[in-house]
Amino acid sequence: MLVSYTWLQEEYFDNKLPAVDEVAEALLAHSFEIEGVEEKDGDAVIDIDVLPNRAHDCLSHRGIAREISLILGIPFSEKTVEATFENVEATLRVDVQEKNLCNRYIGRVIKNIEVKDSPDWLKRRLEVLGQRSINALVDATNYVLLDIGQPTHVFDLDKLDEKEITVRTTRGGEFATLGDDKVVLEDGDLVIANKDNELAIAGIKGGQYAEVTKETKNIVLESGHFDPVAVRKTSRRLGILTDSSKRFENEHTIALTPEAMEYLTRLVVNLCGTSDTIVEYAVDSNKEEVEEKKVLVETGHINKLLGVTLADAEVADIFNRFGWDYQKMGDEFTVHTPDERLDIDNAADLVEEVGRIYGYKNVPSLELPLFEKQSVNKEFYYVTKIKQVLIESGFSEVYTQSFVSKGELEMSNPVGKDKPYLRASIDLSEVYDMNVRNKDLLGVDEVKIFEIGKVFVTDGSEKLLLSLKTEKKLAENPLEVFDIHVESDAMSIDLEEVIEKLPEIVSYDELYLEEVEPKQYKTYSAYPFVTRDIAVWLPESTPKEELEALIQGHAGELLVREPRLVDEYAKDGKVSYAYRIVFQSLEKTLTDKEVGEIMKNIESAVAEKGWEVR
Amino acid sequence: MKQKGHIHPLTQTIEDVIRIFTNMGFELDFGPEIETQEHNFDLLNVPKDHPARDMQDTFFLKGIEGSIPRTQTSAHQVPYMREKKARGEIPFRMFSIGRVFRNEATDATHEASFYQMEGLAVDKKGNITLGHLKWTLETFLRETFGGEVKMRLRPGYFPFVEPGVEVDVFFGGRWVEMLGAGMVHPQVLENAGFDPKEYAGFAFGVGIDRLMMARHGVDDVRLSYQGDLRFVNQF
Repeated sequence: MLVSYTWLQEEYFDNKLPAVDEVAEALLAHSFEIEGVEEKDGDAVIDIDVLPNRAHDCLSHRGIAREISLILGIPFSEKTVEATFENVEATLRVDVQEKNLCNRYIGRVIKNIEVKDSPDWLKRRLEVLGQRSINALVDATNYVLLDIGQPTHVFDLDKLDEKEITVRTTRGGEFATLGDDKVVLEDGDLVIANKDNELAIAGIKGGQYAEVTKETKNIVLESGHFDPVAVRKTSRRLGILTDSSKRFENEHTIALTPEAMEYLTRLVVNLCGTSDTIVEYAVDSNKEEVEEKKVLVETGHINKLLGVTLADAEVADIFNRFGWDYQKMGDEFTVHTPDERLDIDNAADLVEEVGRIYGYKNVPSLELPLFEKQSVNKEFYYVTKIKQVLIESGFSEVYTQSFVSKGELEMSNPVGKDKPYLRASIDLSEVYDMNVRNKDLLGVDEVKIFEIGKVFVTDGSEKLLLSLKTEKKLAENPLEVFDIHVESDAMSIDLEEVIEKLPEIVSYDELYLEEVEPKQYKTYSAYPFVTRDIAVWLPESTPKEELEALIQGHAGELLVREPRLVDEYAKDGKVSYAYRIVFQSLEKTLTDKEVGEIMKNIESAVAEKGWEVR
Repeated sequence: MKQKGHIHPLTQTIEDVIRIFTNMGFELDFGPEIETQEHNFDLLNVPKDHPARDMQDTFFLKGIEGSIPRTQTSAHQVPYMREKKARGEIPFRMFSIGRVFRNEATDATHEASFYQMEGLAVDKKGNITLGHLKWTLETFLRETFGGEVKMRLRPGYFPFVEPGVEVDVFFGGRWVEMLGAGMVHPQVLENAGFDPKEYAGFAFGVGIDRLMMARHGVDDVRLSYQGDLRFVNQF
């Protein structure tokens, strides 16, 4: 939710708000995650991550202003838009045929208006939040939505066959939305209709049929309350997510329906009114009062869940800050929560409200008492042991993706179309080949890898597999001790079967889970490496380390690792040492010429020592 | 000369986490990676067709009704609690570690499958509080990072806890979101057969990949799953 700092200040506070960063910081500590704050056109926009629990009441400037007032203790002072007009008798009929999908619908006819451009203040308010100003009529509906969180809509009265609005389900078919796009509705989707013509997908998007334009003179205003699940299902299926659908699917209080109608009416009169404008009475499908909600909580319960020692008076003080009415009997509070706080249902919800306002930083850290050691997880114990043994025998552990091109369990919505299956086996051949290509770079004699992980089979069950791959057949079986037979250079073993047969374990102590300082990662080059071998005759009395040091000293900064001895043999009082040298740049592909020059340097240094390159 | 191999940094982190929590008396219990939607969502207070389901994009499986690759290790909470209740083993402390799956576009900070850890403790009301949760997380973070760690709790929303908190750690000059936690929601306690008037619990979830990245200075989550020894052999 993007929120304008100026909007909050001008519409909801007489006192000056603290600087925007301070406001954002306070919201972060007591209410919401802040995605960012951006200074923009003399205003500041706060990007607030309002999650579903507070999307009922805080997807609006007013909701956010209430939070700011609450947590910073700045008096909330809402400005109202005034307009002068008289109501005349209503000529509109509203027929809600699906009462369980629309429990309130208010319509109102206004005649003889003039659709103008929005005034600068309104344009600024919308544009700073990244909304495009269309005209004063459309902008007014968007403004009401962003201000108090209730979506509204406007239809062109002259495009209706009769002065009637029906809220009904559709029998399906093509629907032309605003801006010429067409979507296909399904039987049962809720629509706003006029006779046989469908005007809007309820709560989601308006249609072309009764779209307002610059020429519109007479209008019907809509403020409705649509079923959250119905709106959500239709909007998801159509892939149309709008500011409006977002508010409806998160459900907000029905008390906003009449308020938004009056608010929108005043704005429209002010922005588009003429001396001939006629405002009819609103037609309301259902005038039921919103039921008052009471939630009980005891101070003792709050203290026992938070681990604090608040007095009744401190709890009362927090409810006072919310401005909530309550009765107190002993340490039990009966709290009358306001209409808009649909999220508050039970004592735990009030515990959270008290906790976040009291401040989580003020909750003391309480030591968890000692607890007897629990039974040992046999699977983890043996998996860890097996890993330790494999590492000792030169294997490195890899993790590969769970998603593969061929398997048994297919996902209906995979991330990548080329990998729609969950793996049914662990195939290491591809990563093995990659690592073999990099053998010189890695400085290993042989690539030996393994992975232990879950695989998934047709009926939805899973297995724990060990897969390993080596270049050569293993001379000895390192996993003998676990009764695992490693015969070939590539194999998979069902570890659950193996572990089941192994002795039970009573303690983790023997795992030697010692702490080691975590090694820091260094970015590796994305460019190819170049390998060169050099063999040099040294006198028997000269240690090979001298040659190593000389190579390292002249190889320059493109040398990847210390030169590796790959061959050695003695003849006639001399020893030939062959070293493999690997070069790589972090910035580019090296050319033969560049590497050749480095090798020339090394060779001339060798010659200067009086040694002989073979 | 025999060369030793290298252990994956995620394994190093997981083993460390397991050492820390088993020492605190938490029992390690892996749940399945394919879970029922009931365990993964409904019993955790995330009803069908509720916007809270969008917080985690779910993979669906062809031909298997009602089961999904779990989106969170929290899926193991209710089955474990029910088992403990049936055995009369209360209070209890449990933790679980394993892969979870989210249908998200991948980038340097997002993988569609990654490792998560879940912690859960249930006891008589009053014996287990948000204050105890705070201490547990402080202890965990201090031991994982090997020294005092600056940590803060701020309001967060996870449907299966109430109050819910996000936990940030001050790392490399800024606050980094490290885990989510809270007191077990009364509805979840009830779903597992515990009377919320009598019992309370705390729960927390940790992104193991993020923890590993912070410990080892790794800047791309995807490096872990490429099977590339240029990465693994550094550790």
